[in-house]
Amino acid sequence: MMTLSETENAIHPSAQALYAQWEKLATTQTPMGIARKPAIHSFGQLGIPTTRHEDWKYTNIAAQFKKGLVDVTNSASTEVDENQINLFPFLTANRLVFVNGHFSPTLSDVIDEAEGLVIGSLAHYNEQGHMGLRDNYNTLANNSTEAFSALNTAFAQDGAFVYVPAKVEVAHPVIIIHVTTESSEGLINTRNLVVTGRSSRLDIIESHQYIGTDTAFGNQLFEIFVGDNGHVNYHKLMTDANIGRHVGNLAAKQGNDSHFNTYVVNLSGQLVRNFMSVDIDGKNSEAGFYGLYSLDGNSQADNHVLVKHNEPHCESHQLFKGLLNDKSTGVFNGRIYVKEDAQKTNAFQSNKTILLSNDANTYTKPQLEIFADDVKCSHGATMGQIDDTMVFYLRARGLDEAQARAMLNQAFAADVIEKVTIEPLKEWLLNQLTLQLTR
Amino acid sequence: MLSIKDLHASINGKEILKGFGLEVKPGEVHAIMGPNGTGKSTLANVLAGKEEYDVTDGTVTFQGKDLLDMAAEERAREGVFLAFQYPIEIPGVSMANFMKASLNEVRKHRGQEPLDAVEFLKVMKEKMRFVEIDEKLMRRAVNEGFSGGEKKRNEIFQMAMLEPTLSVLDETDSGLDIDALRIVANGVNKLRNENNAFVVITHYQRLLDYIVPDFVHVMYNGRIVKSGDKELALELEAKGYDWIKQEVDATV
Repeated sequence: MMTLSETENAIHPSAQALYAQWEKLATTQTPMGIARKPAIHSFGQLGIPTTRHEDWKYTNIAAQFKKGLVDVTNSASTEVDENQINLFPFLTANRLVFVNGHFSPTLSDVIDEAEGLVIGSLAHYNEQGHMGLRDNYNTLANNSTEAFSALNTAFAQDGAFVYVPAKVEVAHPVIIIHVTTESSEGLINTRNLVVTGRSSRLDIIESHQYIGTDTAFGNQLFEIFVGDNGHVNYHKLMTDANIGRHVGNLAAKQGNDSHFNTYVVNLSGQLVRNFMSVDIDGKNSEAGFYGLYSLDGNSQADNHVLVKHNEPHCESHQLFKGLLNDKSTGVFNGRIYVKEDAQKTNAFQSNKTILLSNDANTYTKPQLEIFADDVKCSHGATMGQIDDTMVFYLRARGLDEAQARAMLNQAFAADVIEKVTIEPLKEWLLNQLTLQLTR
Repeated sequence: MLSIKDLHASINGKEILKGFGLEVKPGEVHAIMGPNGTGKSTLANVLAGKEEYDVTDGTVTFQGKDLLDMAAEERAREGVFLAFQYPIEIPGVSMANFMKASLNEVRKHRGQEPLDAVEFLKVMKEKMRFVEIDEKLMRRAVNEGFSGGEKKRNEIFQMAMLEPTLSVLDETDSGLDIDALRIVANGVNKLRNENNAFVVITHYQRLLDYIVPDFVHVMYNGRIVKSGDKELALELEAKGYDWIKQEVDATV
């Protein structure tokens, strides 16, 4: 086997600094430790993506790291002022809080208990050698093609681990809060793993919060396994101030008769890039991806979705809506892949954008790759402006122009949030949207 | 209450209103009739403040104030209401939220306290009975999926909610069957009092069987060419508009 230094010539120039940094990192014979070496090797081959890469065409990620990319997860502070974080006090829930990629036992609180149920720190259960972690960790990650996945696997120290045994319905949501306080040009890597067994049920709410200015770049990898007849709802929220840069990779896999829904709400973030993929590996299953990005300033949201229909009789929905103000940019790239055997697939995709300013940009690319012959698939994209006749109707009833436009923008965006099934969370998100649209 | 003098208005450079004049006093109902394309809807839109229309000459005074100087929302808050000929569908905006925001704006302008959710619901239910509108419609988006008749009744419902001083009904009767027509007319009649006034734009005399006007005006070529009482409407119904056109064209 070649050592790292022997392969150095093949390392992409943009990856060399991280490569050198990685070599100094201690590795252990744990699932996380074992995965690191092949991952950094993959990253070495891939390098940091440039805009010549089709998937990164509209998001110049390399420009974010002018001084060269470094990992700061391992050197960052693990302290945070509790008053500065939103712990979602209006929800009765399990809470897992991570500060700069490290678990905070004092801020975390687990209330649900069941035989075999685990809600805790990935690092902890990695050390313990938990079977559910050992069997599943890093098996969905696309490290060979996604540079940031590879980087994450190489450097991540901690994140959430949730293991739901068969037939366990977790009564309250698991809220995963990732706080970044570190001011730096570097990367904070966080890693989550959720494994749910047959006929189980779980709601996950993940919130990314950034405190301070010029905070480090978040790089997250999330693997989710949905067991047969399982129900998992995953909410990924970036809702506070207009700061924060984030790359997130979600890799999910579903069994038979399962339901998996992802809700992505971006009301902030300088730069947010999500790559979400699901393998529907069971029959009679449903997947939903619902996204809202309401942006202002120079913000950019880039959502990539890949739904792989590998089995027959499944259904998937994608609905992404963008409200783009100022000089913001929205990117949507949705792919539906239907395997030859996946007959009777119903797969739908829609991306709708409203441009609120002449300087906002939107790029949308729906893709269908269908190899089965008995399927129903559709995709559509619209972009435009608020209809002036609607504005006049509202003004003719006494609302001023700003109120009328805010009401119409809210209506356009709200139908994504309306899909959220946790009532108090839905109400809170609708309020956050109103605040954002009227600020 | 409303005084329109020598009003000229155009859209895309084409003059539609050509010296329109009308005086409306509190408690009065004025019907405006006339052939297609004579500027009836333009008049309604100009009064409501639609910005696509250019007013090139004339004045409109409403309760002593220059109406043309006000933005559309100010006119609504001052008490001018347009029942639209084609009420637009607004997906995602619920009827109840819309009406609550609207009513509270109007109340604020009148120096009244805003209604809270409970008070609002009470008022809304009362006014819904007024126009025999289904409560379920209030939970839907504005006009979305409403039938033609429901859309028109919804306009009258909004009128009942906002209690305007001057209501302009732009062909509210078009597309209504006889039952819906009766409901709409009943709504208007119940709202009539000595302090408010109505301008009812219509093609057909039949609405005026239900909403009995004090004055009937015939509009042709951008202005009023003949005025009378309700008998004039019956005469128009019997004879059509050609005799009026001939009269007018002969004098030009």
